[in-house]
Amino acid sequence: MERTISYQSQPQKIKKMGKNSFIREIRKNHLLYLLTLPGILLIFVFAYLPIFGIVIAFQDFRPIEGVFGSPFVGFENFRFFIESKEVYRVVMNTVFLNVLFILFTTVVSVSLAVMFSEIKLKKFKVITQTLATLPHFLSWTVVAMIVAVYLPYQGGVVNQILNAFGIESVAFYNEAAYWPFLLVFIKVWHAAGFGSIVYLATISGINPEIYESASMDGATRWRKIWHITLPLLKPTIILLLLLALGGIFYGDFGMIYAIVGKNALLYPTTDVIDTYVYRALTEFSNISMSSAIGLFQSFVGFILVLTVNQITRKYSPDSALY
Amino acid sequence: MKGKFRKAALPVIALLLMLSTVLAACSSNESAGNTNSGTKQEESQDTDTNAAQAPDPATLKFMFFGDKPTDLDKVLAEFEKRTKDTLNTKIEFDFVPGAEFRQKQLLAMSTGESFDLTFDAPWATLYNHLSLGYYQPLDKYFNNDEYPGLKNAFPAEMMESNKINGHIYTIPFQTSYADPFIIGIRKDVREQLGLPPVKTMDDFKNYLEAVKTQLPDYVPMVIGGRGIFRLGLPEEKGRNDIRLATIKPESFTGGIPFSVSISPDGKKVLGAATIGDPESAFADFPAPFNTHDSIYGHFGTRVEYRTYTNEDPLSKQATDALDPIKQGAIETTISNLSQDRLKLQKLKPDADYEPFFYTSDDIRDMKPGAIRTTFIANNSAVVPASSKNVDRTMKFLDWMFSNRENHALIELGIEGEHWIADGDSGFQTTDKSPDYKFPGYEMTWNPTLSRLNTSNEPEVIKYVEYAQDTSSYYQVPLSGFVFDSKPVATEIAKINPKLQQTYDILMTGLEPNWKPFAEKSNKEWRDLGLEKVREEVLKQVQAYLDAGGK
Repeated sequence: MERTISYQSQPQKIKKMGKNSFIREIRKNHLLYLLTLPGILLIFVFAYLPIFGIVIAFQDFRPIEGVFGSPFVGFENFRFFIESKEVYRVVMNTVFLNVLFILFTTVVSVSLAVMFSEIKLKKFKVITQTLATLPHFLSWTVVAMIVAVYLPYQGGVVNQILNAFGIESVAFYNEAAYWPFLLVFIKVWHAAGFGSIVYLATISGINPEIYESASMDGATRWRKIWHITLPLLKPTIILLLLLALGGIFYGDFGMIYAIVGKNALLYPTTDVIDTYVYRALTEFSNISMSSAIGLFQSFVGFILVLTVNQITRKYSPDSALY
Repeated sequence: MKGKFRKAALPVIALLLMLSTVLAACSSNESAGNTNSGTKQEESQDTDTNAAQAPDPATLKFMFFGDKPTDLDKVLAEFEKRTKDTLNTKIEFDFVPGAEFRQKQLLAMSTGESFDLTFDAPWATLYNHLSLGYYQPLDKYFNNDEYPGLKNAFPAEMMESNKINGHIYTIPFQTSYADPFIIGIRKDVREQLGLPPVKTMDDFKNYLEAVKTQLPDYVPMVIGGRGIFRLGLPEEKGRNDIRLATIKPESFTGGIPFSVSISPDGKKVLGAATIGDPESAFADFPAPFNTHDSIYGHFGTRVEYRTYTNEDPLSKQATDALDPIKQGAIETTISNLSQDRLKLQKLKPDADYEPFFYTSDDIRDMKPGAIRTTFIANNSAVVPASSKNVDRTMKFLDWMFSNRENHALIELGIEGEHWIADGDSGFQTTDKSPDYKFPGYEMTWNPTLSRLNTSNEPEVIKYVEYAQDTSSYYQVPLSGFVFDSKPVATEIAKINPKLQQTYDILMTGLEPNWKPFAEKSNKEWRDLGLEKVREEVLKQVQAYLDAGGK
């Protein structure tokens, strides 16, 4: 605790030190700066250097001639995506599915975290927590195989159960309408347990004295969750939501392609930008067109994060990113 | 606040500056290394031509897809031992898993990484990558007495039909031009039902009907996303005034299955029509192909057979999860049938498949001129433009294709260990064979050198030999035509996902009202630029004919 305090008070000290402060700052904290070096290096190499690659999206990129030799074609590479009527549906699917994913995983993660924190029996807590986080470590290919045990028309577990109750089999793989629900269910099962870890950490950081005094005032367990835990979780929830929003235009290719694959009957509800682009360009491996879409997705994500952050700053300044 | 930022920013900027100098140093080092190796290579080529003794050592890098054969290193050691004094070449194989292969190959080529041989084929990315200039022309290595092995193994007429825009870019691999498509009928099930062997389409339907009614927990006909692949496809056998593209894999126009008709004298292109086009588009086509259904009516047949197929064929997982024992018939090819049989008998020893030649009676009866082909090899290797070792690579291939002994070492492994000879041109597998499964279609398959697996059933061998005989084939018109998709890349990228979606549903017969569905989809493709692609197809085919193409 003392350490943190002394560290936080440093900026004020520096202020008084005058012109040579930079060198002194480095000298004083050189070990700390050294610690940041690998991180900065990583970000610089993998996030900043490749930014120059954006030009490819505006070029008729010919690998043999390279980035400097390929001719510029303006927005030509964006045409195939912007002009297609399919795009409306695909973008809607992407945003719709992602909103559902974000919403439901957050709700379930938070509830799980609260429940875990309320479990008093230690062994039981460890077991349930492990079981809840486990699915996160299964790759989507494995998940797709598990799904294939449950959903087929002939011999699928779900249909066998339905038949046992005298209900006719459902051809899940032929009916697009079921899939937003199914995908959300799978996504929540896969991600919520792991997502709850961050919230659980925040909860365990809450000062126990607050709960004690609430108990003394006669607050029930439910009251304490509602009036103490959840309000204190709010900044974390908003922060994570903000981060998630940045990726709202990225369809979860790994998940959807593994589970839905090339099933044309399910495209109406499951086709997202990434799977669509994959199909559109798979025969040509056109680097320029795929870069154009990538740029489009990150640009929209960037704008979204900026806007939402502005709104957050207005209504809940503590939770804003910057 | 501002001052704070500046203080934090300064060290960061300093770090970045430092980093960029370090990185710049790295990259310049690397390029220096590259030029070094380049000059070395040139020197070695000089000595190569000057002296007959062993050339300087060279290391070739080959990138292929699939699994690395377990005993590859053993075989390569034997190869190096045998050729130390002649080739003095080391080969590094990079086997990339199928799903990542295209990505890795593309990345390597677009960054100019030097490697010397890789796989590409008409059905993969060959034409597209060629138009981007990824591959080197190889004309001078074929039909050249300096490369006698290549000259013998790749006759001039074979290379002629594999030329692209007048040049040789590929080393074609094939043991035959086609692998006849068949349906594997469950012999044991058929006998259990007391039915005669399936010889005609009527027999086939009777059999499926019997399975459906008498064995309700069986799937009569199991299909995947491509349906009963070549069911009811018309053929242009014996004609030179039309080239059909009845299904997507038959497309020779950028993935959109346009059938193209040309005037009887072969001078003028008359029209191009595809799935769901109005009848007027077919009016100029030669009879009997002058209606939509005469070419694309097979989608209707697929709907008829829908009642016998598994419920959710478009889901690969659901198809894979079906009980293999409870399947009345499967869709396969003649050379895959043995594998299918082995898999089945592992689960049910008394079960068996028998082939039904559903595409054509002529193929069943092994008549000459029965199999449709362009005479373009299905599989081939190419030399990337970035390779600096073309001569050495071709020398290696020349060595490998110069005789049966060299060839078998790479294709089958060490004699006596991975295989044993059976006659002049056959081989038998051993219990060590699974340790050296080299993907022959990526580097070795050849009609004159490849040995035939005599462990197969005699019936399969008969058909494999039939398929190896060039006279079993007929050539379709416009065989040498290569469509350049560049001018309409945007349109094709817009149409393709939509077309694929419709196509998968049509192939599996999932839409009972297939024709209105096809027509509606066709209208959507038109909104996405189908007409522009059609114009381009007509233009390019005409240009091909004008240049003397057939």
